[in-house]
Amino acid sequence: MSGEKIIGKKIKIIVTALTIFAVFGSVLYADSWYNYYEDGQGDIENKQWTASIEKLKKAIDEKPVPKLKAKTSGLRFIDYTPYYYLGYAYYSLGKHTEAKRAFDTAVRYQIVSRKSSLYTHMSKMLADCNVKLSPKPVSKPAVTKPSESRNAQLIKSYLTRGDNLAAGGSYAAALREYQKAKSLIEKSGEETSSLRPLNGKIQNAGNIMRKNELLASANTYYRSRKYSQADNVIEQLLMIDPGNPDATSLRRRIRDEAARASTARTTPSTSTSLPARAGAEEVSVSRLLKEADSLHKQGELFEAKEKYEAVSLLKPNDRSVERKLDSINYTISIRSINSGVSQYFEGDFERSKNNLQSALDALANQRKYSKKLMIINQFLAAVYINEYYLTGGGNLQLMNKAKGYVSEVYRLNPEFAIEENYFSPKIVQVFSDGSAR
Amino acid sequence: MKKMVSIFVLVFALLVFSSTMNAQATSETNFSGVVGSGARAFGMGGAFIAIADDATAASWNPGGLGQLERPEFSFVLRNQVYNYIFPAKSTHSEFTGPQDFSGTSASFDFASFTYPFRIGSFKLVPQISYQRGVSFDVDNVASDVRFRSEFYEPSLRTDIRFEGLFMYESVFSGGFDTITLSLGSKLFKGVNVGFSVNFWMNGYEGKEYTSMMGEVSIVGYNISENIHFEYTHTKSFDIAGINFNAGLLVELFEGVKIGAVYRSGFDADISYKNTVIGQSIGANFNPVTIEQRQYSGSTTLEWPMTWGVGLSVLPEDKLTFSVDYTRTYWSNAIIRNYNNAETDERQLDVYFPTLTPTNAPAYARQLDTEQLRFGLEYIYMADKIIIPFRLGLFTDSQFYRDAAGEEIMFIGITGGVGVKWGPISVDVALIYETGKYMESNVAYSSSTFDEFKIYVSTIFSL
Repeated sequence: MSGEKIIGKKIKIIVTALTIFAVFGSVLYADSWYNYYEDGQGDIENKQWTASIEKLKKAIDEKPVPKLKAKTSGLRFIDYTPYYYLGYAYYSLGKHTEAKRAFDTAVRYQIVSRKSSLYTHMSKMLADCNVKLSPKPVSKPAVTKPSESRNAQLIKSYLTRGDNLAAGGSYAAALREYQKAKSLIEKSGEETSSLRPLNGKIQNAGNIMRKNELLASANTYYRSRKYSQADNVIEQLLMIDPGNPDATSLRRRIRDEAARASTARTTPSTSTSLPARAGAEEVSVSRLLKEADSLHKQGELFEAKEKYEAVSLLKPNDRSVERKLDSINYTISIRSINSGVSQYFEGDFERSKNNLQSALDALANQRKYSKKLMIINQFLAAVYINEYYLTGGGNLQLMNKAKGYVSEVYRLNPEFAIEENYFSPKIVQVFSDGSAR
Repeated sequence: MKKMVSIFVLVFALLVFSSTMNAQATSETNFSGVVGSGARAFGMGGAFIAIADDATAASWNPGGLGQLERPEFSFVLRNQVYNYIFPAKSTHSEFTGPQDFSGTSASFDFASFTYPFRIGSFKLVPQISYQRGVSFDVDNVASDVRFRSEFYEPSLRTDIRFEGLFMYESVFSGGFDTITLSLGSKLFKGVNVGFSVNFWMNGYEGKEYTSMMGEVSIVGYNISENIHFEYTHTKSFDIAGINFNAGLLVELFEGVKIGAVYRSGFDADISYKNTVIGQSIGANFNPVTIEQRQYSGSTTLEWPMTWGVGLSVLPEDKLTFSVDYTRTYWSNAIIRNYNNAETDERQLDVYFPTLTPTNAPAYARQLDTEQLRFGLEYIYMADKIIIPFRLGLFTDSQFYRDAAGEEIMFIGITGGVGVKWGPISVDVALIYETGKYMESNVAYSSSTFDEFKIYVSTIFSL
């Protein structure tokens, strides 16, 4: 066969192969997860929400687990956070149920929490979804006489809203509503007779908030094995509310643990059994460990942590137990952070503060958690600033506390810049002053 | 007498320096078309068939092109330092003094431009590239080597002894280059395919120069004479042809890929010219031509087929392990009707590149070659910079045999490092290859080959 014919034959083979390839490929084509993901991100930038949802779902089908610095091809790595973007697209379309589902998945994977800019945005959207999806309180329609002033209507609506929030346990938000009603009453000089019960409600909400704060603080100390401080806080609580069952039960546990810890320090135990707790029989270390592992697997983290702590008292140098405790503390702290941030955006500052403080204690200022610590300190500062202004701006202790948290943020990251879109100008100002300091 | 001595000297030079053809080509890795290019790939031992995910993809496995997302330019430079130590003894000869050839060469090895685009949602990735498929850049020198040789001449019924100094120099430049047009795509989930058409061109030219000075003695006749001979062998060899590659890359499940590549054999058009001039240098340094041959012509070279398979595993995104196997059918690489000026053999079918006649006994024929390659890449990520570290190992069987007719195996170790900052990545690979084999059946007649190569690549993504 001549050279020309050979080349001609080869060209025919190549053209045939390319044709088959093009036909086959056009029918069965499927792109890579990173192409779908980046196209989805592009659609979000162009506000093409529906198109972005379709592509992000395809990306998730191919690669369901999000990851920071996920490898695409060659030496290219991208931050893969599809559930955040999926939730963002749903949220923008007003589909809060789907958005919440996506955000909850993102929170569960704990990837978005490592990117503070996305995390704050997502937390705000998630909080908004929670508010919009929570069952609306049934309130009696306000009965107004034809001659009732608009002021009176406003006062009534604040009071009703405050009562509903208090009934739901959101005492800080209830307190704000009551304060608004009180402010209007005092300005108008009308209905002064309703001031006494209102003051009672304000005092009641304040007391409950104070008790919750003390109880949370005592729990935090207890979990951190600071038994003496925990006991002191319980003492304060019982002075406000003697016989409070939660405080009484916690005090009993604190004293038992303190006694056990003292015993373990002074007389090293060579036996493998624990001294009996009140009403409990003796158990072996291995059984305790098994129970702890089982509780851990079931997701009962606090209960598992109690048991691991008991084991670590008997076997102080057991590295595997230490690692498990570290892991649980970390998981608890992440959940606490997520709850705390979400509650902040819902306006429930008391719970937010308790959760964030709990997370702060669990992470124990370890440098490796600096990004998490930054988020905690940032939102604790915001909570205290809000409380300072809500209580009339007279309690300088609250502002000083806030400034302390702000300083800690800048110590962890001197380049920190607060997301101004998500915080009030007053909060932004405190952070700016902190940055200048 | 002089003519007989001159024939002896020429034969002697061929016996001693025939392996320079092998040293000149260095290892089989140069004689490729079977391996690709790029410092990242070579840093991983060249085990890149099941990876092939950067701008050098088409040179390793065109099936990998479908993984590329952005337009990319790439450039690869190669610098090579080698050392060939010939044996102190062969069947008839002994050497003292420096017994090594060493040389360096540097060349532009590879360049490419890739431009992925979409028709609807269907992605196509075309690439155009240039590669120095086989490099013939050598600059060997061996000088002031003292030798002593003795053999029996049947026509005189006595021994002839030759003692003196020789010098050898070989300077060649050029190589077989390819311009390649490739097209790759992701066919369906986890399956990438690609095709390439390679246009072979260019060739090499240069010369070998041998000078021998000393005394020749016809032992039985008690005759001795001072001689000085010089031989210059000039060669040029140009190639033209077309072949194609087909590649497949399949992701079996996340983090595990297999790849396969096929490079077709083809009939290359060859034009060559060989000239041998032998001169005797008199006492007044006036040269007298005693031998002159020139052959030139056009013929056909049957370039062999190659296939390869590979596996890559990513236990996590920062860590890659890979292994490849490649086979090239050099036992089928034949030049038809070749006139060899060195040996004055005319219109003979010979193997390429050893130029062994195809009617040689089986134990002397050219061999197929195989390579087994292992690679590892670990990526360290700083804030905005990516720093990969690479290691590799490979075996490299040669197409020529040792004195006993056995296969020769070289081994190599590689290492590499790179830096990627934004759209630019720069990689460096160091390759060390070595091998030892028997040049003749005489004791202490092993030759040692050492080669050290550096590749530097730059890839720029748009």
